[in-house]
Amino acid sequence: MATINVQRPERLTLAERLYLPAILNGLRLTWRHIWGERVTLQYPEEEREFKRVYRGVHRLNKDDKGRAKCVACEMCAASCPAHCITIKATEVEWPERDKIPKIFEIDELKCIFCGYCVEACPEDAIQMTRHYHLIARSREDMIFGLDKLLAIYDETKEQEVLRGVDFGVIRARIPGKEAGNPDEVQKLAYPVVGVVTKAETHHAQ
Amino acid sequence: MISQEQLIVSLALGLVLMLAMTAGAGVFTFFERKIAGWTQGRYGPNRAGPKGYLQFLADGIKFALKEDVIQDYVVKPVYVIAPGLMMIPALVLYAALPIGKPFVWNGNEVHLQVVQANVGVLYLLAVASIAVYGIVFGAWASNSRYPFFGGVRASAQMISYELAMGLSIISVVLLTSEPGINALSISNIVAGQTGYWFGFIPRWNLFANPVAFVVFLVCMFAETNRLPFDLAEAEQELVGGYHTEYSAMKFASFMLSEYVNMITMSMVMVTLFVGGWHFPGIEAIGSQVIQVLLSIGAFGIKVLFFCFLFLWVRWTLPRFRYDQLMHLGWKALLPVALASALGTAIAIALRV
Repeated sequence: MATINVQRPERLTLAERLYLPAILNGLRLTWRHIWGERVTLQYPEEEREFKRVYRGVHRLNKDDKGRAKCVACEMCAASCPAHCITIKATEVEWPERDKIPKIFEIDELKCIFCGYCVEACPEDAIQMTRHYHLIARSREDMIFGLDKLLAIYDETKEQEVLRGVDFGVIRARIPGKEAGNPDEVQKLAYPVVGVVTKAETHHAQ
Repeated sequence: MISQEQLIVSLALGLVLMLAMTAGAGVFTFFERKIAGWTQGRYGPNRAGPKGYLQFLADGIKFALKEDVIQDYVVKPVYVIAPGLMMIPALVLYAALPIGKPFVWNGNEVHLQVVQANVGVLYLLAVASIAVYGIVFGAWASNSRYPFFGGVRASAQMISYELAMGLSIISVVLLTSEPGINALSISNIVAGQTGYWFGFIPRWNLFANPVAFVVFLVCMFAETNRLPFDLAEAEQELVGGYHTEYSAMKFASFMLSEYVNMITMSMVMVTLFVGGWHFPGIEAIGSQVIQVLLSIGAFGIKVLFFCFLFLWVRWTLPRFRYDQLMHLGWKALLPVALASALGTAIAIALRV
């Protein structure tokens, strides 16, 4: 008959069987933690700061005359896997373009924040900001129209955001593709950089 | 016959302690959550009121306003009285404990003690054992499997640990016993701890018999159903244990009595092993009033330390497995407590 030799655990020493030394060690550890560092982010007062590759709420960029850069080519709507972009174009007699969007709506609830629209845009008109506060009281309010998207641009004008060309750098990390500059890739790799404290906001009671 | 002064002090003390204990238990729940946070690198509740200190009020109001569900299948009379049965022992246990130095008022000696029972130690043991009835009744009346398991576990655990606890208290009684002194009276036990060895080490029973101290410490956690011995409400296994079927204020009183229990057990611990109201250097203080106030303060600080220890240990240790619990109770603590009682007896016999 075949026998199986089972490796029995070694007998514990007296100190181990008394539990007490181990318990004291544990107490010392938790004592250090009680006085140690707190890792919780106090959300309404503090927020994470992201690198510019963070894909947050969209914005529609304006040109130097304060008009939407968009030429209503519908490349973004075509590339959108979630079909959350609706564009109705209207014709204009401007020297540099002949079409602008009459309606430009992004359903932020349908959006999966993949960033394909940003990559597809030939005019760098649609971009994604680092804002991640997407709050509304109804589903209708979550459909952002032209005004809202342009207003977000005004708010985030100073922000350095994800550009269409960044996708080339990110893609380069995929095996089989041409390798990108490792420093560039590293800069884009992990989106969290730190914490911003907003002293002026009040405690949410 | 007790003097009028003693009567006034006892009644006032009973009232004040009762209110202080219930309020203290509420604050205790807040610090439980705070320390849980701190040990885990979080802040703990910090939104309700300044720095979150009103959290316990918010919790209390929430419990009071919640719907009190009584299921159809429970045994209603028992179900309803169970939380009270749990609360009462927790709130009467401290009656026999002196919280400060006895003093002289109008020529009468007054003890800062609600009841000056001459068999106070027996009273402690008796009331502490009754506490399990609240759990068992609640568990049984819930008419549901998980609470039932919780109740069975709680009673088995209480029986196992009460033995070792009683034996470690016997060591204390033996240490106090001297010809002509009633060693079962708790004020005598405290008075017996007021001297010094070599002039500077206080004669606290903790130093006289550290083994009994450790045994009592472990049993204290088991008696209050606190981690690492909270098998009665092991939420991973038994949902909520014996209070699974309870809601609103009934649940809250189970919860509160757990915390009141912790405070009273800390008080018992301090009284029996850490010298009660005694602190080194108390004899050097001239004024009687200051002496009494400082002695109450010393008692309070010691109790707070043990309350903190409860929380500290809870957030440090994982729960015992049930067989380990029984093993520890019967095969480890019981023999050790017996040996300690025997050793103390022999030492005293040799000394006398």
